[in-house]
Amino acid sequence: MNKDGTPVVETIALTKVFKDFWRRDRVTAVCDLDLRVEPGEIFGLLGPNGSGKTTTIKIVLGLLYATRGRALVFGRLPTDVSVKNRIGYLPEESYLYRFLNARETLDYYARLFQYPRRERSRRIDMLLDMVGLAAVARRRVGEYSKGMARRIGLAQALINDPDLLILDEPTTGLDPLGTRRIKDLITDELRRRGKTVLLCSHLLGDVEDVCDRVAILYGGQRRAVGDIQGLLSRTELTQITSEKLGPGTVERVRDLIRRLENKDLLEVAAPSDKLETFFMRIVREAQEARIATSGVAEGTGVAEFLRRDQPDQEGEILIKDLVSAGQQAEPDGAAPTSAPAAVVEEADAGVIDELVGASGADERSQAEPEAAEPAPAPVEPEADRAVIDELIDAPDKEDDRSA
Amino acid sequence: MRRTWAVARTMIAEAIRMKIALVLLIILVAVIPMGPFIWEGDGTLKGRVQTFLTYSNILVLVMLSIMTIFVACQSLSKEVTDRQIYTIATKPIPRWQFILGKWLGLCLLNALLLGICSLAIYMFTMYMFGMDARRLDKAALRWEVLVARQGIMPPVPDFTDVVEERYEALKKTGELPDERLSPEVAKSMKRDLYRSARQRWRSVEPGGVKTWVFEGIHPDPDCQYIHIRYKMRASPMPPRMRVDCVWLVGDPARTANAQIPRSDSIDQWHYFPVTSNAVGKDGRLRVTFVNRHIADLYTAEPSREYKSTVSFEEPDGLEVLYEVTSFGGNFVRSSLLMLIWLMPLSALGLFAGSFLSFSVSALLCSSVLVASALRDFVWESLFWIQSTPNPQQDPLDYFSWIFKPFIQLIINGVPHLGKYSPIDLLADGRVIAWGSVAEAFGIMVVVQAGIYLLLTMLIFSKRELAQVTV
Repeated sequence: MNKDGTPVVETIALTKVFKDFWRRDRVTAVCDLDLRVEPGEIFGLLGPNGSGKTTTIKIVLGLLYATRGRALVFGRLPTDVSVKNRIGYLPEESYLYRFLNARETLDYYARLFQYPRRERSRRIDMLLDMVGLAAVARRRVGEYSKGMARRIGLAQALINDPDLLILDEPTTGLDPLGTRRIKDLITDELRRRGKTVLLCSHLLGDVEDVCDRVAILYGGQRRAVGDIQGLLSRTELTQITSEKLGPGTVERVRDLIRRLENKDLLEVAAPSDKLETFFMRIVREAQEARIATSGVAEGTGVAEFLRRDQPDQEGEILIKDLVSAGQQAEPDGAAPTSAPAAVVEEADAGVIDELVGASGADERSQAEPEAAEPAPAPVEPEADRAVIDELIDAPDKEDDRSA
Repeated sequence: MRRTWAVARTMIAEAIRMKIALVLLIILVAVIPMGPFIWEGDGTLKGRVQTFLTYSNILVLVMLSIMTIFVACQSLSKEVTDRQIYTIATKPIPRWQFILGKWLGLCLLNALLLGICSLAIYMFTMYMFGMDARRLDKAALRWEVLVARQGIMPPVPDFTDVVEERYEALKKTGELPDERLSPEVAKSMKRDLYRSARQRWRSVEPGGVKTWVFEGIHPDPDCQYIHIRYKMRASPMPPRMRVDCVWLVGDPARTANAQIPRSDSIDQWHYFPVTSNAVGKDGRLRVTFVNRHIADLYTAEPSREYKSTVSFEEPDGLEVLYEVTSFGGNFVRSSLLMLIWLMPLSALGLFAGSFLSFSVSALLCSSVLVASALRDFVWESLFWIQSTPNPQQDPLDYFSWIFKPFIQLIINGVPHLGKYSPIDLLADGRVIAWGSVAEAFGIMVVVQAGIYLLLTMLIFSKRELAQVTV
């Protein structure tokens, strides 16, 4: 890890112009790009196809050379071989040797890091377990499905427990199970251990789920960069999530908002499960029923060597519990992670009564913290609290008036 | 080195599992056992084995050369086009080590395949030696093929003084076309006189006698026989195309000689054995050729009429052969030379594949392979070009001057198999010296393969490994 404050990845006026056979400028893939990826950051590089994301990554990796400007990795040039001891790279497709099996593939890459035999074997076993390919480790990679090859690709990127993990379209070709595992790996393990991740994708959901900061590229130029919450938050809107409400209650809330804020209630909708959550539940049920498959098996969490700064066994168990708790809680639909507005059409007078009663609201929030906690709704907390306070105060006044 | 070895291992695994090496091995293992029955040579056991050794080794060498070119060209260009290089180049292995690993892998693969094929060839050769055959046939095979013999030719004297005397004599007698000859013409005449003197030294007049002293003969202590090997020309043609003659062989320090009467056909190779104790302790051997029938050996007035002058072809029309080591050792050195030849070829394939596509690099290397086979021919042509250009007479000769250095440079860069080819030597039962193996290693591996590898490393280190993806 960089302790001297040097950015892990830095590009300064980075420009890449591809030339044709006659050395004439043909395409400007990246133009005057300035980026800084700080230690411990999960940084997303976003952009449509051909926006220069992959070119930038390839320059950072030393696979392409900058036409102008420069890229630095851990303060050094990308061509410096010693830097590569600290990098893990998953390309946009798994470019593997078709004639090697999974174990041999990982062994080859581990040998390039000059690990002793025992250490190689240990890491390979753990990584194969982690990516769920232990049972098919002796099959040639050429016979693997695209998703299985992606998993091996991920395993090779992690073989050296890198300080900087560069992932180019990491979830392409993966089933939801694998996608989820990658996201969990980034958000749980890598972030916790202060690893830096540079993620390049055009799947906005993936980036949104895991990244701390993003840069959006278009036409090789940086169009936006910043904290993901800051970029995504819409301060002009407020979202309230509650249990199912009756139509009358909704109307009363609408009136209340109109009266107090002189604003309209824009949308009232019933939330639905994310397909990912539903899929995860079905697969887990099948796995529990031990239905045979020739594909990947369920991985065994994160490889131990990737968690080796874990202070003790207790902490490890805690993470396992947290991960499994999260996985089990979601299928019940308690906490849709990015579902839209959660206001229902059917009014429930009892609920709104409880909502407007101060003591009742407090009790509920204390009784069901797990259900509300995992939802990272893009709602500004301060605004949220203000509206609830208003709602809490308002019925009293209304009651006073009616009394 | 561990990283280089990892690349080499994967290279071998690739060639084996992609079935390139397997197919090649099947072809060779299928063809080699058929060889002794297909290639009959001159019908004798010796001829059959010689033909088998020659053809099977050529087959192995050609097949391995083709495989080497294809695997080497494909190896690097495919890594780049299939993008496996992305994951390799982002690991902590310097690119030069990656190239070195590829080359080592190819060399080891070649060593493995060559080892298997050579073993098969050796076993079949020994099998044929064990077959039932006439005693003389077997002896010929044993002493002419399944040996490693050193060949010694008689030291050629310096004829400069003789030539000068002859030239002056011609001058005095007025036999020269013009006394005021230009230096070039005089030089050319002296060259002809020198050639003529050498020819006379190798010729024996009708009924005449000539003695040559061979030097530096040091046979193995266990060696019982040495052989005199020769090929005669006769002018005019003798009756029945045969020459009746007598050979006297012995130690120059003593007067005793072994007398060997012969009646040999002309324009064919012949040999006869002499006990190795005929060689002097100083390694010298006196060989006398008497151009007469044995019956006329000691008579002042020959009973027959001799009309033909006998001469021995240059350069090796007359030589002494003696066994210095075993056929097995020779076979190993022969295989080593073949492996040495494949090493610069591997480096050349990698070099081409480092900046060209597979098809273009394979075409380039195949052309070099052909050029290598024709190298001697092209070289001779160049010397001819060098001696004849005269731009004042023919403006086209300017091209010769321009292109000659360029062609010379290319030819020097082409691995020179012909010079170190072990195949003819092996089939002829001649020793392949360790010195020649070392020389071939120095020139073909250290210099040529070294240059190719350095260029490959330079190109591969400087080039961008990713492709345009905009």
